[in-house]
Amino acid sequence: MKKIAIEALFIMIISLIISLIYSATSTTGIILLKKAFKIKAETKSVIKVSDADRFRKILPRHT
Amino acid sequence: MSAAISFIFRIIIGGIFLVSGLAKISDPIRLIFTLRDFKLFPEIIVPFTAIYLPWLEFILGLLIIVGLLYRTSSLMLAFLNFAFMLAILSVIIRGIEVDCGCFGLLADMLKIPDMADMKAVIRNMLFIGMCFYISRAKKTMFPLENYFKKV
Repeated sequence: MKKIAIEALFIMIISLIISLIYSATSTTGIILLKKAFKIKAETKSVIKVSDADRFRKILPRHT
Repeated sequence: MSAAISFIFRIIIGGIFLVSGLAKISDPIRLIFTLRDFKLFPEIIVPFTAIYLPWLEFILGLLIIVGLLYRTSSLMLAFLNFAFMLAILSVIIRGIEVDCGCFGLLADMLKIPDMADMKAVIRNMLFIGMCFYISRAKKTMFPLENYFKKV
């Protein structure tokens, strides 16, 4: 009985490690991991306001 | 004779859980929706279960097929199937119609009926019987365990 319990624990830990590693390497997995461990998703804007101003100066205006 | 039966059961059970585990690993979002439909688990546990459960199924299936720690694996799979059966029964009793999510993407691809109904309960009972047979059988064919014992 004790042997079975130890083996079961071993299998559960191995699957836990593999599932966490796999999730950390896939996009969907990362989202799920963040949800599971309640990590707030970072929201980065692609273009900052200062960048947008710079582009406005560089790019030619419509005439 | 019992060794051959045990081997056939190992291939069937191991194959089913290996494939269904893979199907769920490839689409965890679907599993999340299924788990939510069951209305059994708190929201905190759902994403973690969707990550962990398919891998547990996959590894147990793999261990049973190759014959490594197959007695413990089949017992664990029997308990897992018992839990699935209770979940499906609870859904039937509450009168909620949901997909059982047993085969994930595979159900759509092969057009297998995947509803949480009495057929699913009977199927799970059959799986539990097979798992107990594998764990209780004195001998089985081609287990990898024997190879490791010799080494």
